[in-house]
Amino acid sequence: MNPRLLLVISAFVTWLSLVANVCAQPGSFVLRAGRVYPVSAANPGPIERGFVVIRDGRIEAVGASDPAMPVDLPIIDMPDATVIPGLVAAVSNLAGPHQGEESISAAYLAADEFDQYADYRRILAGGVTTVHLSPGDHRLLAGQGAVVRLAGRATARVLAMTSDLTVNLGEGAHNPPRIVDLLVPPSPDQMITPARPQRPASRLGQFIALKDAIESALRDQEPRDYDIHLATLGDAWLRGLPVRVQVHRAADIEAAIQYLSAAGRHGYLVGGWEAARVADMIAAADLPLVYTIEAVFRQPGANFGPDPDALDPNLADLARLAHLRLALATTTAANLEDFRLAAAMAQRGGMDEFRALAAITRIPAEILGVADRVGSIEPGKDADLVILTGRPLETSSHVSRVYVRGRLAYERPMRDAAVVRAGTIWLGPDKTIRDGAILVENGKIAAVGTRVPHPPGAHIIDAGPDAFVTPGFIDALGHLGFDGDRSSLPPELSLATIIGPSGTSEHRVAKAGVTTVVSAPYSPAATGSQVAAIKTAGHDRDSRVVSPTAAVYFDLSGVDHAGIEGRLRPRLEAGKRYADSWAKYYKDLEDWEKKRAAGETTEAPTPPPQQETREESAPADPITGTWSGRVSGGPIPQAQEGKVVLQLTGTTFEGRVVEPPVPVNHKIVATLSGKTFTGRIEIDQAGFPAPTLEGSLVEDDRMTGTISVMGFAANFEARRIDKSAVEFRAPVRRATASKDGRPTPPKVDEALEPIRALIEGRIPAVIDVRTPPQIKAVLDVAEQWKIKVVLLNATGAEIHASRLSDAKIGVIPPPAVLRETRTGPYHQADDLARRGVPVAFQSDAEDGARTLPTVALFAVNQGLSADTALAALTVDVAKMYQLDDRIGAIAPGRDADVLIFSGHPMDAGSTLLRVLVGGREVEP
Amino acid sequence: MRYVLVSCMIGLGIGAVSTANVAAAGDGPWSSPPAKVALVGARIIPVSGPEIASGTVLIEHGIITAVGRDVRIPFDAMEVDLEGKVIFPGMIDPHSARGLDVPNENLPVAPFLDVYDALDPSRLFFEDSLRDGVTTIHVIQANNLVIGGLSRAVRPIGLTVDEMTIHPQIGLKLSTTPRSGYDRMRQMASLRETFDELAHYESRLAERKYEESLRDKPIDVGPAEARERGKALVKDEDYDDRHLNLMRLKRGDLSAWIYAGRATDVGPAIALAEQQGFLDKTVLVLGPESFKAHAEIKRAGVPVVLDESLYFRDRDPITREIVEVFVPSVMYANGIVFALQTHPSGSMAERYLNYQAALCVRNGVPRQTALEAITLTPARMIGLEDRLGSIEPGKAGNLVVFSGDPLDFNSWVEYVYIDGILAYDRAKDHRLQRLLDLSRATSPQAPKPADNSEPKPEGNAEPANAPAESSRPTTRPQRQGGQP
Repeated sequence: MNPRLLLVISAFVTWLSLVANVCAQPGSFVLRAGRVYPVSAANPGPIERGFVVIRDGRIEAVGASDPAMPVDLPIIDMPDATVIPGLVAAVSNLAGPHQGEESISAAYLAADEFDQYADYRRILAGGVTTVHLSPGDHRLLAGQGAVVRLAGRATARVLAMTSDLTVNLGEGAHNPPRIVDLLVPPSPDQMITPARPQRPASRLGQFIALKDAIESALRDQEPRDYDIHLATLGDAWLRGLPVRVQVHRAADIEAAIQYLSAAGRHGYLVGGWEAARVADMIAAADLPLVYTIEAVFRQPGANFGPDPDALDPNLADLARLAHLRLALATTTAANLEDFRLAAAMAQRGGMDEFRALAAITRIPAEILGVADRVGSIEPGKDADLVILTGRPLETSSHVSRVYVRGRLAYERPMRDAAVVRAGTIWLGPDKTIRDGAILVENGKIAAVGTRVPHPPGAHIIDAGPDAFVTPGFIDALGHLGFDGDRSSLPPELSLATIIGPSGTSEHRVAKAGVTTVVSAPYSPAATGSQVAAIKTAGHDRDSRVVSPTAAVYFDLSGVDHAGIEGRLRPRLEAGKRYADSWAKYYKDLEDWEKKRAAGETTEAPTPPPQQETREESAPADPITGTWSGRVSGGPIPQAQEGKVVLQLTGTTFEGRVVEPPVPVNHKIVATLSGKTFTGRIEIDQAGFPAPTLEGSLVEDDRMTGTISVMGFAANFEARRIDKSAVEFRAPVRRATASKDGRPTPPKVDEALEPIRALIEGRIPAVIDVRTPPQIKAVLDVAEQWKIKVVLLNATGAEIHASRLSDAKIGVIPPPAVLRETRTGPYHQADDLARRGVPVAFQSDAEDGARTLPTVALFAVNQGLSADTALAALTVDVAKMYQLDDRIGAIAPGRDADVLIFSGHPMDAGSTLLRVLVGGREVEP
Repeated sequence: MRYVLVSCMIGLGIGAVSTANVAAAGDGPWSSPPAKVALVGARIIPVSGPEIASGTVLIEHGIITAVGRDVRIPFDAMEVDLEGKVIFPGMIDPHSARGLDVPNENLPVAPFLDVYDALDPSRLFFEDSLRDGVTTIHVIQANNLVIGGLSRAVRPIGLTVDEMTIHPQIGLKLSTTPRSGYDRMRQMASLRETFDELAHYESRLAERKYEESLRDKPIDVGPAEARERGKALVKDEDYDDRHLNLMRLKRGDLSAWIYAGRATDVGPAIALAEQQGFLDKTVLVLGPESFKAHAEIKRAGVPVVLDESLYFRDRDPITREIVEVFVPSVMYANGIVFALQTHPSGSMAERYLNYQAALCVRNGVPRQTALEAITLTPARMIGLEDRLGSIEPGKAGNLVVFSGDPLDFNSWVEYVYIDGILAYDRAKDHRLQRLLDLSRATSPQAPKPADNSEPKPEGNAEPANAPAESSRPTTRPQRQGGQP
């Protein structure tokens, strides 16, 4: 066998097995991201350009870009994303308070309340993947808490079925209800007893009740009557479950610390709004604290009212608690979706970003006893990861994805929006924004500034403080899209009609930063050709065409200066007449609308022609009526049956085919002379000459004849089946006014439309001229006709520099930057620009436009100012073609054609990092 | 013996009990129904085997003795010609509280109750069941409880509960879905408490029995040993009412019907059954959403009774789109044995078991599975598959005669035979006649005697020259007024 074939086959098999391997393990991949915060004790992060290897839902490795990354796993690359561990909420409202009545009971398991099959994506959207469930805060010993995760296989969601004994100190747990034992049936040995009161009624009773219950649970292993509440308590106590003390008051915290140390139990505090007062005691007892932040975001909170004892959490306390093992949580009233934002506010209380991030990930995981599974990104732990659009605790960051055990558990629906942040945003020569941002929405720039909106779901590109953002570059005259076709383009055609999705050559140009090309035919028609402004990236015509007619292109380089006026005038005169007819129409229409609005007569001044219906003919009329007949022979393979209505007026008659229905406008026109008639069938847009008719009336109500067209002939015969006159609409004819007097528009002349736009000042004329006399002639014509011009290749332009500068007429110098003259190399762009003439760069090529930025760089190297060069590539070209409302600038409403450089584009060391065209990134 | 009793009651025409309206009313002198009935000429769907295009079912003394194309009909058998009809096993409602006066007791834990005390034979529900072709109803408490009382299987005919009863003790109802006023934590605590307390009670009972067995001798062993020795001494009657049924549940005498109304309740239900050792006698009663736990159900291998709403509609929390799932398809795809139940509201199409089965077929469940879900599967669930659920020799003569295919909703129930007795005849269903105004329309076809070859004009004067009553009890004319 061919060894090469063998190699190919074995490579294919290997690839197949790799693919199969990957497909079999959806929880295995490599995640590459801009920043990774492992939040482990050893490495809080961030790791720039980090990666996380996930295999079978577990983290295998984490680190900075590494050549030893496994090759068998698919790579998910998110260069703009930030990765943090799934957040751990040590307080939640997903369970409890339970509905049991016992003041002290360990029988209530919060895990029971957890709906494993529920869809928690709304909470996942906030980045929370692990939560603690509490049996409640309404009983002294409410039961046993649990730790669960919010996604993944339903039966694997519970991380700890029982994680703690939940004790509540404070008023909330006082005065529990009385217990009524229902006995069915009551008997002498099972008597009905009165309702049994329970402790605690106040602070005094709470520890006595606790001690009492625990002691009796431990002492009386064999009670006479089984009591599940004490039995489970004894069991949990013996298992050494930590005690979770939900407490706010300083006095209660103190008592709890004393109790726990006396009982020799480990535990932790939750709440702690007055913890700052006893911070040293807590530290001495080495108790962890879960501090609950009041997260009131969605609407203002309720009033405290006159209650002087109302607890008031204070973020400033966090600074005094900083030396504790401190986790952050929200109150049960809060929405878990807002957990990250609540923790971000801890920074206001003096916690730094790293401590605050650890306080919602690693530390609560440690406190809840699940740190071996979740809470940080370390090898061996579950791959519970949150992908953010920006820094972990920034207001404008959003969760874009959540992975739970390596599986995508939540993905925010992305909007067609992006925010580009960079150190410098170039708005124009000597106009920049430092540390600014651009919001792109629906392909347009929506906002520019130092603080722009960051809508959730937007892609956020943080290019860094050194980055330099400019508008996409414009090739002032190229031929992209003509594919080497050097034939001249008729004046009525625009390149825009054949534009489709961008291809390879366009991609080459776009990659280089040239986002728009003003594309002209290689040789324009003598009467002027259209040039189109085309984007170099886009998926369809609408997204690619900036303007189908950006200018009219005349090549007058070979015309003597004396002949220039003569070449241009006839065209301009025709255009003027055409433009005037339209102007008149618009004026008439305006007048008519004004009149109509004023309620004046809407009758036409004169009855419109051919609008009347025919009068009924005399009874002896041999033609008028409905004829049923058939056409056969000639080129017609099968006889066609049909019906025709005819209407005689004088000696001419007119008719229509009514059956079968004819989809186009048509008219039968014929002249009757005696018994014979001749005529034709007029068909709109038939593409062939009108068929002719010849026939005769052979007897009453019967006719025969032939229809001929292009040398073919067919016979027809018909019989009149109805003699009543018929009304039909007049043929569609361009009338000057319709029935209600509304003016009708002039006929559209595609060839004159560009000239009309030129006359009306909507587009310029790009005129290829060389010598100073030619330039002068063109400038004279432009002045006389008040049209805008752009001079192409105007090698002699410097002679008229002041005139050009005054009139703000742009010049597109030849593609070569330097021109050899007798006095040495001449840099025309630099010379003109310094004299105040707007200049631009042209490629005069197709995908050769990709080198335009390097040409500009050389122009700068030869003396052109860097900012002028930038302007010549962007805003100045856009202004020449009057496209500056769409391209060439970074401003609200403009197309989002944006280039991100690592520095000023004209600095030698700057590289083009990313290209956005119409808000979409061009693949590098 | 049973049919004699029933037919006597019917014959007496006592009271306005529903069955009297529906069942073939005799007008004396007492004519005991024939001991042998041969239903001939119908298409037979035995469910347990292949269909018979045209065959005979022979019922002797209430028991099916022969089914097939060529069955030798004994000379003394009443022959009923059912040509063009379809014979289907009497359908089984696997789970219904509608025979009870109220669906639930307000005591959360009440294993000492028995539906016997609350079954009301005069409920129109039973009449409706008969009309819809249901011949066996498993009457069990509804879902709003922690632990309920004994359930029983009944026929929809009979004047007393005893007459109706097929089996007096099927199982106990439990629920892992919180009853009203409870949350899951309290529900589960209650369930655990009940079984933990049972274990505690049993050990103390054993200890006491051992002490009693020693008479006046001093106790010679420690309490643990005493309990071990006492275990053998405990008899059923030593248990008190609160614990007896629970003990029988654990021992396997009763089946456990555990309601898991949400998917998350399925796991705890299976865990409870596993811990207490009655998983093999467990039937899960599911809510509409519970199918999401199909993996757990499949692993446990327990049969399920589906919620009466077979479609589950869920709204995506993010996109707000509604996703629709047809639950039996999920069950079938996962190989889970399921039974269908009737809708508690009598005005819905879902009240018909055959409609429910037809819905399944429409949504891609194989016909055989769908048919079993209303016959054999529920029979197995209530442990009576040796007597009910299919047309096989040895099983009870519970048959439904449809006018066409049972899954065609244009067919209706013509006759219902329960233990070989014609328990329902559409032509004599007064309520239906009045409702549909059938008297003015063409009368429904009555079964023709096999020997009557000539098709008779339907309706009016037909009974005058009817053959001997002994052979044609089903076509006996019904007097207006009915009372002797």
